[in-house]
Amino acid sequence: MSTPTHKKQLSPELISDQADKGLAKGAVGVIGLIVIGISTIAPAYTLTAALGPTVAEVGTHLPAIFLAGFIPMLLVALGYRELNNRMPDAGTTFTWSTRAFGPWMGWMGGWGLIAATVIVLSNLAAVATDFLFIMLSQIFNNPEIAELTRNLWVNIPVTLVFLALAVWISYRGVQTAMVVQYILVAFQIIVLVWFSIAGFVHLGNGTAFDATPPSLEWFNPFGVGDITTFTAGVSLSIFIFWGWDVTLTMNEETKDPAKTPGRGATLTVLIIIVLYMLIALSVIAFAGVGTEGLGAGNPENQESIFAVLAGPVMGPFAILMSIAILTSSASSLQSTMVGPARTLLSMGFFKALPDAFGRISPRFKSPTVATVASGAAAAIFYVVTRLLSENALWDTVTALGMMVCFYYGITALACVWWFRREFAKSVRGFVFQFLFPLIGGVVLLLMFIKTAIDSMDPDYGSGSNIGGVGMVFILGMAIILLGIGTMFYQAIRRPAFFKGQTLPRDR
Amino acid sequence: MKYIVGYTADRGGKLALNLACNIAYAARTHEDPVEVDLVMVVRNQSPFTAVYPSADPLGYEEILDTTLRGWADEALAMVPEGIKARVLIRAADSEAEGIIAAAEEVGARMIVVAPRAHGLGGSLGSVANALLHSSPVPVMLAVPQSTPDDPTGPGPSRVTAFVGTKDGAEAVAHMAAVTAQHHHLPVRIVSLLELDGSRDDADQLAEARELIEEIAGRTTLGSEVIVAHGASLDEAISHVEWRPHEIALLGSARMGGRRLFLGSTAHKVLRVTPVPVVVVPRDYSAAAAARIENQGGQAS
Repeated sequence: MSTPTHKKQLSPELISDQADKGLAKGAVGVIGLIVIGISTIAPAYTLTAALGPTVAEVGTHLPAIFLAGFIPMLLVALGYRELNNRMPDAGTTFTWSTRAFGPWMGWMGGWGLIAATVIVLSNLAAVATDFLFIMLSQIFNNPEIAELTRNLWVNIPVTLVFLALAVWISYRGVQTAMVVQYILVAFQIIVLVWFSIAGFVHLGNGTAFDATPPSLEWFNPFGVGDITTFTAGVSLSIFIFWGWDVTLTMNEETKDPAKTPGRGATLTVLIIIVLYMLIALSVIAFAGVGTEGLGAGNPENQESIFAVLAGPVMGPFAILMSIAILTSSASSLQSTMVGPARTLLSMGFFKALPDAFGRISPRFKSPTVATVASGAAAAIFYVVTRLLSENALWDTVTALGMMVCFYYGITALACVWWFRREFAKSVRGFVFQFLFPLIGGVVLLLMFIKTAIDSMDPDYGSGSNIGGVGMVFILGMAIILLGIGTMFYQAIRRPAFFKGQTLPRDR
Repeated sequence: MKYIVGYTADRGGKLALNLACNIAYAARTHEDPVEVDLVMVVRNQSPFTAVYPSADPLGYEEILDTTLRGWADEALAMVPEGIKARVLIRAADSEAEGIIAAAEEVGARMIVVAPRAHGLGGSLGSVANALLHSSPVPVMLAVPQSTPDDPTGPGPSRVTAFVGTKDGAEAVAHMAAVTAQHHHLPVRIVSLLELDGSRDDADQLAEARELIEEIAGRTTLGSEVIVAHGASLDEAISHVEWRPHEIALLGSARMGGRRLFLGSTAHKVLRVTPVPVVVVPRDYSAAAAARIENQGGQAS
């Protein structure tokens, strides 16, 4: 690939380098890949953050929506895999949307990815903070400690400390050891299964809060009701599968690049779907979808469903749930920090952003300005949302679903465009390089537009609004407008990237 | 003879490179001149630290490679004419492991690094610290005061070996002799003596001198021997005088198994010595001797 940003090598014969250095080739088997996939999805965290808002939208049709939410994700991921196989150095959404669509779309695709990850970072840090206090209150048997998280003077600083730690760890390039990752994932799964069994036991014993025996109708996506509800539900449930496609992007690291990624990805998604179904059924069976008390539809419970239900369902063992969510959100926080940092780095490197973003630490060989900027953006986003919204976590998760639809949509269409001259050559190509990513991309972008329009309604999401316009809409649009503004500013100040000089279109 | 420089594209890296180049430049016409190999270490990526979204190790690696090669160019441009230099880019689990592996790869006789200038509580920083504790070859620590900005400036003026009565003293004395011979420099043997108030100072001094001459004399016959003394170790060190651009050597001790450590005396010396200090692994001399013989054999 041409990188006109760097000068010609002066004396290449004096440099001894290794290709693909640092890449652990052939190190990951199917089980390892499943562990990587599940740890990236972080089911304990995603469920506590997304279950409430999704139930609020679709009620008992939670299982149906969870299944429906996976389909666009799958279609896009299959397209991405085609591209990743074709150009292993494809890079991020930013680099290859730029190469497929040119600088402007590429820039916005990159921005969408950064926005989505910045939002999820702030949400992860907030969930970690909540469960830190819940865990402390369980340890000291003092419910007042759990209430501390509602005090903004405590909550905001602690959340910022979590973010700062994640920045520091990611800047230092600290790696998570295999053993640690295995233990964290196994622990998460055990606790989630434990929770769902305990929920069903309460149902059987008649001790459930609002016993609601599961029904087949819950799996019917057409029973959800109107299209607005359906879109809102799917856009939220995309978030719960977000991370799964990491299994498809692993190639050389796997023991058998031809088979391992496919098997790992399939098994990961099966395990995750089973887990999600168990939890969804159990939560509704135990708590119902009512808006009173422990009901999963109670706005009070939306922010973090396990914070409310773990105690009544698991009794004294609820602390295990707190530990599972705290570890899952904290480890996700640290690994997610790297994503936007690398996209910012890549944007700085190709002169789509000021050069400073392209800087790498001489000591730790990690992005410097880009890492700090990601953490700072997440911190600012969190403080603003926390101060403006009555229900910050709910609104950030909804805004996140919207941003994921946006950048996934662009990514998928970039794939279609990329293969436009060759997909017709084979049936396989037609399906994987054209049909699937096209449907996935169009659906996601339509969902993005639909969610954006719906979210103007002040009652959308948590019901927070400014001057009668929904909070989620304001958050989402503010991010996109900020992106467009920055893009034009860059285009005027430093036009090289936008003239296609640093990262030209490939075809 | 190869020197490995643990290079980072910052002030510390430049300092270490300057020091290595300064020594190499001063001895460029000698037999078996010093060749400088810079190593830049990249961390091994654990697949279990998945980067998501945009899990593109290769796209990122390309940016990293370009940056590293830019740094390599800058570094090579700083090496004065007349010195053979290369850059190695290697992946390892840690910076120190990568430097040691590179030293073993090229059969280096010395590792040169810059410790952290303002580490917490006088700490040398994790890299220098890890190297001092596990390097199989001598480690030279660059200090800003005595490293010339221009590597073609005056070279080393003398080799000073800190010799105590503990194990490893011979390795230090031997290394000092070999280094001095190679660079055509005088040797000075310094021993630090904390005076014990209960006995006569002169007696203690005489005793120490005799002991040190016996230990060091075998390898450094005819060199100047000084017993720097004082009521405390700090006072003793403060009495040692230094020439500009001198090189100091001291030994590391061994604490069970493969782990090395620096005694408290060594730590103090490291912190207050105004010249570059070389820490010699205790069992280094044997290996060094073998290598010298080997190379001598090849030359003849």
